[in-house]
Amino acid sequence: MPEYADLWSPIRLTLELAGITTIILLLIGTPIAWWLSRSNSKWKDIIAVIVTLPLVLPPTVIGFYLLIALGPQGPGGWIASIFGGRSLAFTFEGLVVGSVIYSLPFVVQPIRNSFDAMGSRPLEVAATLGASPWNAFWTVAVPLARPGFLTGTILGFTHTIGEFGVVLMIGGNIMGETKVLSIAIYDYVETLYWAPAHILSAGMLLFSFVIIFSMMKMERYFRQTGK
Amino acid sequence: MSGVKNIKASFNGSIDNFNLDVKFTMPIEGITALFGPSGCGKTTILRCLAGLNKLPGYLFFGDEVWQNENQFINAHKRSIGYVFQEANLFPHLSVRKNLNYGAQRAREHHLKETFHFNDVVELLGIQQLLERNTVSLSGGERQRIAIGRAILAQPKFLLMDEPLSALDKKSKRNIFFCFEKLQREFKLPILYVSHAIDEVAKLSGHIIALDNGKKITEGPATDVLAQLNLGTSLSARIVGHDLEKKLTWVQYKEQTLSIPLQDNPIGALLKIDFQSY
Repeated sequence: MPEYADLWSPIRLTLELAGITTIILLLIGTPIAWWLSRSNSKWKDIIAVIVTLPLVLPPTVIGFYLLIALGPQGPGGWIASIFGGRSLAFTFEGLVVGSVIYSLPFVVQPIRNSFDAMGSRPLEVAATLGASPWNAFWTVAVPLARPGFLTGTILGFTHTIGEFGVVLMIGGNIMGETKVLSIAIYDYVETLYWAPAHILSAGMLLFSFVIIFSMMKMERYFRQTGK
Repeated sequence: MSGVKNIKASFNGSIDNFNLDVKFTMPIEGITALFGPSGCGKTTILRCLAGLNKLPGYLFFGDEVWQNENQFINAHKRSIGYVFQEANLFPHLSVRKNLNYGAQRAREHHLKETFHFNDVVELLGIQQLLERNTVSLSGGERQRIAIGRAILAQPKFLLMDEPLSALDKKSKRNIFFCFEKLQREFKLPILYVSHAIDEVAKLSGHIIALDNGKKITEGPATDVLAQLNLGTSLSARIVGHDLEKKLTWVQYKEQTLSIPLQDNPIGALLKIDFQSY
């Protein structure tokens, strides 16, 4: 019989994972989105496809390759060994790496769309007003792409919360370390504890509804005010 | 800038399948017009002068080298102002903050403050708009703010790319008025791009005429306007000259027209070209 207090651990873990993942994604996704939007490189299409891949690949496939990459023999294991660990597989850090890859397109795409829609004109205007490219990026491009950042942040966060297949492959089911919400629900259903499964599922349903609803409201607000 | 008050430029290359091959010298004073039909390369030249495009060639601004084989000064380091065809105000900033965007950077780079906020705002008649959001402004108001924003960045030279083309008649007149005041009060040299001969004739002292990526002619406005071949033509007979006003009177059917002074003697037939705009 599960303790209801145990429900908090997967919830907290999931929010932590989604939060950390989203921050990392904003940090690495923004330059990727910028480059995809501005570059004329011949590699651009290839990179765009690679960034989009996690959108269509079965999570188990991503998970399988990550398991190999993060395991003791893979590059992830090598990195972990530098810090004295044996492998990133079945750790929280491993989950973060997996989530970043899994949710990458959901953050990069909306930000890139915003950069595309903005065009190069606002930055040219900024340049003629004496702003360096770096300065213009922060004072013009980022504020103008705010709707894209908002959508990307919310999609990245919620998509990470809903992650299941990848976690199952590389994280397993370790309480307080890798047992996230979706895994916990799966676990309760498997072991026929329907009541906690109900609570967590209904919570997720409500949470997702509220998020998408407020996102629509905010998008409408941005469109109307033109900000 | 010591002494030399000219821009010397040469650009030769192609951008998006458009070939540009021009070389010109223009004074850094008064209003110079870059004139020619749509698609003749006016905007490309302006963008090259501003450093927004890079074509092979050279560009000397007074005694500063802005471009040659060895160096290219980036747009944000050139002391130019640029007014685009559309105002392109920053929608996330208020009117005041738009105006201050360039001014603030000019202060950070310790440029001499030649144009003061209050003077510019007053000249352009935008005092009552300062706290507004840019979304609710009319086309004319937006363009005046864009001009103010460019001037407050303390440029030594102002580039304008058909800034009136998107405006109605009344706004156009308003802004024309501002240009004259800009000249009179601020002595800010302007390079003005247009395909509208009336704007060019009214404003400029020096004209560079282009067609199809090449310079046709350049020189003082009156000379160039006289030389230009501008479309529909009719034959008229010269009936008199006015040497003082530099005019020639010609007769076509029952009409008498005055045109810039011609070399031909009285009685000669003259082909007169009209440009529709």
